[in-house]
Amino acid sequence: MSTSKTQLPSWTFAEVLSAFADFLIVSIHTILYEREIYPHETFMLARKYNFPVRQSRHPQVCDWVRNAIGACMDQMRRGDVSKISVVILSSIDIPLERFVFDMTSFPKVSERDQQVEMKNLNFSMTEMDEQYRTCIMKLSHTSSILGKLPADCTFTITIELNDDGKPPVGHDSPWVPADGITPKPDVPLKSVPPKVRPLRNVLMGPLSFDIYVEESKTKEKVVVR
Amino acid sequence: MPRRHPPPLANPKFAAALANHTFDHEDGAEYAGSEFGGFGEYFRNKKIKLQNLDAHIRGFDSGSERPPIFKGCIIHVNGYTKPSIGEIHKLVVIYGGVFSQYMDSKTAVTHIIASSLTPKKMVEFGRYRIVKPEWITQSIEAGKLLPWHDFRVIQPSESQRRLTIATVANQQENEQSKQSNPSPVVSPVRSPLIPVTVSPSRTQEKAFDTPSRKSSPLIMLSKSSEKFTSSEEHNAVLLANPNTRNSSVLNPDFLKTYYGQSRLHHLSTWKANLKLKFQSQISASSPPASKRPLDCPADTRVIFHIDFDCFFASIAVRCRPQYADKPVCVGHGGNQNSEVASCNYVARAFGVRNGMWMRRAKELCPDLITLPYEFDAYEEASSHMYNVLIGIGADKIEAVSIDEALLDVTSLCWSPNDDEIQAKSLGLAKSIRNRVFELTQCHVSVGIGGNILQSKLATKWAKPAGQYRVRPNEIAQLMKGLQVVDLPGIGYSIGAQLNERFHIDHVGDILTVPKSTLQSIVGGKTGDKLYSYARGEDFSEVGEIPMRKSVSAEVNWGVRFEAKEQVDTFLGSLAGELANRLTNLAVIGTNLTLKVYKRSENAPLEPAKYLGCGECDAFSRSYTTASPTSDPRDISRIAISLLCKLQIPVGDIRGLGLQMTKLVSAHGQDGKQVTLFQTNGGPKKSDIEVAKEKLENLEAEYSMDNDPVSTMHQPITSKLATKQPTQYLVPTQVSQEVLRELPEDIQKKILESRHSKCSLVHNFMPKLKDESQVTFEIPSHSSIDPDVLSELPIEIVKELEEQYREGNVTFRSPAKRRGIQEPNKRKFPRPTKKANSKKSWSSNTIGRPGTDSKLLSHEKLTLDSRNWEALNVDQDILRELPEDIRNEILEERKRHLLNSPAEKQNEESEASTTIQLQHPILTFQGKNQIDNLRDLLRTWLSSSLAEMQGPHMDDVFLLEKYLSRVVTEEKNLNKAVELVKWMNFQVENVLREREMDDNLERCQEVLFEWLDTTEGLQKAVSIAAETRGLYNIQFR
Repeated sequence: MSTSKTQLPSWTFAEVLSAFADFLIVSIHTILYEREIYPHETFMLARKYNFPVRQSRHPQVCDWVRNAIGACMDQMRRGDVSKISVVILSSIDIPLERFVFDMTSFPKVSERDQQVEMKNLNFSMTEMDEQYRTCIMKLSHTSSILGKLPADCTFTITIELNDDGKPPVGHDSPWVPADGITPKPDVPLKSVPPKVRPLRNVLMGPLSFDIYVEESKTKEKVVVR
Repeated sequence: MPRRHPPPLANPKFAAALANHTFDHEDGAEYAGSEFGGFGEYFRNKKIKLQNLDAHIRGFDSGSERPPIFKGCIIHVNGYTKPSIGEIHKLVVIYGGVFSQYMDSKTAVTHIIASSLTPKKMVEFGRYRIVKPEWITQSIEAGKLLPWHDFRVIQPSESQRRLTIATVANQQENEQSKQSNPSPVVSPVRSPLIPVTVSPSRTQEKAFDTPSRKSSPLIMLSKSSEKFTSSEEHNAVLLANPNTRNSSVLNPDFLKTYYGQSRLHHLSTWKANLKLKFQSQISASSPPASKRPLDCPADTRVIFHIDFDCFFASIAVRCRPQYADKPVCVGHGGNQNSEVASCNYVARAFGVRNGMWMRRAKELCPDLITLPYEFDAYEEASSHMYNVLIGIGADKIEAVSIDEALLDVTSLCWSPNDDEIQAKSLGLAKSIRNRVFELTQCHVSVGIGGNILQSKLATKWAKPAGQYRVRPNEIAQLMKGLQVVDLPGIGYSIGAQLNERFHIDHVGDILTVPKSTLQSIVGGKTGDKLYSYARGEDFSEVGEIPMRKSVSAEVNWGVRFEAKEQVDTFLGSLAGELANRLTNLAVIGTNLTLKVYKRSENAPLEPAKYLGCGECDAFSRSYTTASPTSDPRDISRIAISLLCKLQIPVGDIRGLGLQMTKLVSAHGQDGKQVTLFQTNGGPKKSDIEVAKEKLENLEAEYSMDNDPVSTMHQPITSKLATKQPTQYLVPTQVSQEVLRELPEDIQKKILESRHSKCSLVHNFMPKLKDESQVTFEIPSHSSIDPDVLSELPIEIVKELEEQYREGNVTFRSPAKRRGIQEPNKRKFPRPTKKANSKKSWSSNTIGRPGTDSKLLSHEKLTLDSRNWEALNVDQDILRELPEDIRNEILEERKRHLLNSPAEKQNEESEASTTIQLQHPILTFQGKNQIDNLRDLLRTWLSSSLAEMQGPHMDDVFLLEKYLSRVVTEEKNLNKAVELVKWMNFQVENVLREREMDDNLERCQEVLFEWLDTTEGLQKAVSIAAETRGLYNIQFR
């Protein structure tokens, strides 16, 4: 079976994670462009996954995104992340939209094994690019579904950890769950839940994650420019 | 077939409005004049005025006590009726109904009254409630609304094609109700289920083919016990009947009776034994040493495939010439549930096939004559055939089966000229056929080709009673026309996989698919085989008998349990059966697979077949032991822990199977072992004695190269293992915190047991006979498997840690390694990192009696264990060398390693592991890819529309359930939503199309039902998503 192996090189989990980090960065830039968080002129046309994508030209934006994703990846490596979200906030910091990368079905690999080639991570580079390209395409079509945002929106990136996840390094105080971030099924809802639109489910060998976008009810009330 | 009725009203609002229509005076808007050209308005007004009239009549009649029989009905009359339309109108109105003179759309009325319909209208109104006028009059007489079905004008046509799952249960139900003559309960031993692998689909088919026993006490029981929620309770009730209990697995002699009376089991063992007999006969006759002609190229062959034509059937007809031209099959006569073992060509013309259920065969060919088996005659005939074959002096002979053989006759037939080969081989084939016919009065067919594949295919064309040679220049052409499933060794499942992925069903199409793609779909070996088969190539040789790959024992009939202990006991006896089979074949294996059939969630607690398995989901788990085994206790222990992992409620277990793979011969090189297994025929030894003897032999045999994992584990786990097997695993390690919280006495107990575990380690070693010093090297820290570590008692772990801290890498103990056959040995599963850790452990096997004098120097070897492997240097030799030379060699190897990336890669790939998918991928109707599912849904919709009948409720229910499981279990919200969107889109598309074509009204009702369905699907997905904390899913 040596022939098939040479055709389909195996990946290590660390390689997969770094490719995923790239994908997250590209996704965030795409969201920033599509949702017009920054003016379109500040973006330049680039090419990724054999697809035209936009990248912010502002060095600070780029740094910020890169650092944020870097921090996410630290947690990803420990297998603690359940969701990575890009939240679009209004000028007074009310969340309007949330792009969620639901990582609950992403496999967890002990850090010891992350440098080892995994036998069943044997999809090709092209296959992976195709999957990510589809996601980026889906993201760049969201603006037609979601409608316009009010002026002066900003954004942030949040991660949600698993319930049993360990606190990040340096935080040995107990973790207290924040209120009202995710409605629990048994707790009656205080406010109207956001509308959910699934965008894409990625399935590559044993890797799998969901992308969906949530639209808060507040958005309808905010005056659209 | 329970028909789904059209909904009471397509538009309930409209009906309510009409029924409550009141009329006050003649000043309403409807009484105003119509404008010029305002026909629409005029007509609307006219209808309102007609309703005014009815309201008026009702108003007059309100005093009388007439029951509102027709409340909610909107009735229209079509054509001539008796009573006349006027009378019906009056009756309907005064009995609370609404009468509609004009049927502007059919959904606007609930019933159409007609005595007869024109053929065109029969078709047009096919899906509506067309009722005879008697329905009105008789309903009024009865004083209540009679079911309209009894007054149908159009008799229902046969049902639409439906999704299969849902219908199976229904059909069965139906059959039950249809069957008027109650058949007696067939005694369980007379109709055992076949002990072969049953795929779920097969199981279904079986359930379908089983005759229903309407009046059997069992069915009644199952009906009455529907109220029990738990299947354990149900089983307890079922097993309360002593007869049932005796025929179930709870009877200790179950397995004996089961295998003793299973016909198919007998048949297959008989066949296998005969085949073995002929094979040994062939090897005894020692074919002449190869005398291939010198000019014959090394890879050229002439292969004969000799096969009796419908062997059993022709033997049966041989002494009953009166049946020669009648359809005949061999099987156990009478029983509808038996299989057709063989049928003659006359029967095949009717579509009867080997392996078909007798019931089906009788349907296809009512005159089919069933003849009994004649095992002696078969044996005689095939020994004649083999004698003939041995007589011709072929290079090689292979007994494929009792009626089938392969011959390599290259030396007899080969010639540089193809025509000459053709003549020679056909001549030889002819003479074989004649001789066999003289001796047996049965025809054989001979297929001739350049390799085994070609000759087997040639036999297809040779049959019946002929010979055929595939000539080299026609191979490519012949292969192209073949179906994939016609290839030997390629079954329906592979055919179906290829068809689903590439729409391939002919061999010619495979040529376009690259080998790697084939391998990725059907697996490495099969892909390879398919690839070469498609090119007419086959590299296997005649006489190469593949080693048996697996041995298994499986039971899926009579499996009912009430409690876990019963499962354990039964697994114990099943393990005994498997061990027996392994011993008979003189093999031992390392990989044990447990297969469990679990009652499907929607299957009834008791299937139609008495104690059968019904509709089941199959689960399997496998486990690799450190060393090959055939010990029943080992097997049962592993099986029990595997079952424990599956977490299937005991009451739902409907079948259990054990399969041993990765087999190796138990003989080995040492003669003693062989005699051991042969003693089985003589005086029967108790299992323990056999195990002991085996152990001693193997100790001697394996003490040189044993796997330290098993040795290290041995003492610790033996404590666990000797305990009564149970599904509740004894905790091997207890958290200190937990311990502190426990009551004092329990604490003490745990500590004690832990202590005894450790003392066992120490006590164990000196007990062994051999006192020679053995050294275990502790593996490097990195290669310790944490899973293994966690299984060790805390003391040992501490000790190990100390060792590491001190950098002291050896520890000595006066112990001898144990043989790998030691019965009480158990290795704990290490799900990941298996390959890696195994490698590192075994490469650390250094300890060896006699080498300990060199130990001091070997401590200085600091290389990581993995490098040892990669360096390709024999560690033992290396250790014997002086230190400076050794270092030089190591340096050299290191440099070499860096320069050869290939080797490096090789090393890495060996260390690679796998990642488990976090969530299962669920399938629906055998499909899980969204595109296939979309196709399925579209077909469903279009077939429904073609039949003018809405979706079947059961189908809808199944789909809803699947979608919600996709959201909750597969965690694929997107797929579920996309599918619902697709359904929506399809329905709306049809709606739009029909609107355009102006024939909307014909199928409006069906489409409304579909709209309801899609709404239901949306709801199901939304509810499922709520459990994941996602509300308000958008489907647009």
